[in-house]
Amino acid sequence: MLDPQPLLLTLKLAAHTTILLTIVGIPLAYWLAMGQSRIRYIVEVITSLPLVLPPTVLGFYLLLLFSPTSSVGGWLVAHFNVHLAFSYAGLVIGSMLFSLPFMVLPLTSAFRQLSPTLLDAARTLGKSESNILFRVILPNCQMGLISALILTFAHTVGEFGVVLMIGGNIPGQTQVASIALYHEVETLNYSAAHLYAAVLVGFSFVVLMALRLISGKSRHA
Amino acid sequence: MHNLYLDIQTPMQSAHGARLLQIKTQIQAGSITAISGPSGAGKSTLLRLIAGLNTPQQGEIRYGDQCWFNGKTCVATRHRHVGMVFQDYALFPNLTVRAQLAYAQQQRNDAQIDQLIEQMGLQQLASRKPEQLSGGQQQRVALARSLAAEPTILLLDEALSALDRSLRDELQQHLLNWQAQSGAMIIVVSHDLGEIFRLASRVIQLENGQMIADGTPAAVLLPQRASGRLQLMGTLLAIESAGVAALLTVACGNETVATLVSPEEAARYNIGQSISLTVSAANACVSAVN
Repeated sequence: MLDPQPLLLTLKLAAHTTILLTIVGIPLAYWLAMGQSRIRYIVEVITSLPLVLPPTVLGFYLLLLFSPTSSVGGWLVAHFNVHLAFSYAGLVIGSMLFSLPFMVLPLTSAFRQLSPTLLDAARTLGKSESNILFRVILPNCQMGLISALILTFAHTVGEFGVVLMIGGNIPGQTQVASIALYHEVETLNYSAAHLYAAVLVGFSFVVLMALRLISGKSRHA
Repeated sequence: MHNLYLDIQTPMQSAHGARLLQIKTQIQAGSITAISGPSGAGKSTLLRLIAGLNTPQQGEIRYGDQCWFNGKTCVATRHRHVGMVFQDYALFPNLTVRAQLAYAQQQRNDAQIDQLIEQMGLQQLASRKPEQLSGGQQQRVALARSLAAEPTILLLDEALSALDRSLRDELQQHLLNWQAQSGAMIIVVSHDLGEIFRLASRVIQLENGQMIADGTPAAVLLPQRASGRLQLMGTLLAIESAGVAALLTVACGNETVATLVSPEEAARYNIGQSISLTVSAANACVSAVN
């Protein structure tokens, strides 16, 4: 029988990652799209790095950083008793970094496509920048926002390398579906592996189909 | 209500390359001022500087005793109570006409929205979104939206250009009424002589970023002495001999006119040729057009 726990843990991780990345990603994308500062080009490149880096590279550096023997990891353990290596919290942070471009890039591109005079018009109506973000920018970037949410969620579901490096394979804590699949194959339990694989294929198909339908709808609107 | 004091020097990009916009003037409280000039003269840039959407490189902008810009401090657009109607209308794609007006209000006031919708002739369109409106309809919504915010200075960037004549007349009258009631200052960028003469008590003419003329519309825009003759350009369509004279048929714009000349003179012209007709304005018939 299929153990549902890795699947539930995967959904929980994807949900937490998506929610936290939305909170971080919207202001970051706004700054990248609207800001004047030159360092935003560098920040945009750094944001995109996880697209091309092998996930194990990111996982490796995070593992070193989270380790209680490192300055950051040691400080967290000493002051807050927080252990990030091989823990769920560490997994969430790793997933956020790994999925950052999938949240930020669609949002940045949607924000850039907005006519700048819309923002000017709202400013002449006496609106504050945060009011403009929530009342003008986001409502007119709905498709970009939905794409960003779906892609972030799906990408987190599909991650493997980062999780393996910083989370390991602790059932109920860090053992997500892709890791459980790997584990079943290693122990030659192919029937369970098949089930995990089929669920992941089905999920990915549904997600891409949903995106296709949404973008098709916005084109015909 | 206060006077607006401008003393601005700032570089701007125009079609003819980089130019310096230099303006030093004072605009009276409660007045309507027109800005005219060729494209690239700096008209829109000037409005954006007043609204605080652009920051001048140096100089000073003062509204009464409030300093809006002096090189160090710059008051944000949202604190200036300056309304603006943009050339591209800048309507929010996600909001209906009614919701655009409601968003513009500082305090929710449904009666004011109903009144604006009626005055702008938008009753049938109140629940439509911008993509379902024509250019002229969007322009009316943009004007109504800027009025809903009750600005103390209203900047109009060719705000009535997409409207047909009768609607334009109606909205000009509405703007005059609104201005008389609210006491607001209006600054309007316009190419339309009729509009400038009807609305404005003062015209500032810009060229290449410089003020080249400033005064009443009559002083700035009317030539020193009006011509007593009217010249029409047309195309010669037909020459018919009528005994001692020849009848020329000429297409002028959308009209076809006929005139008599001597046969010798008629021989000098060819059919299809561009010709000019000069008539005396002294014996023109004058009537009102509705």
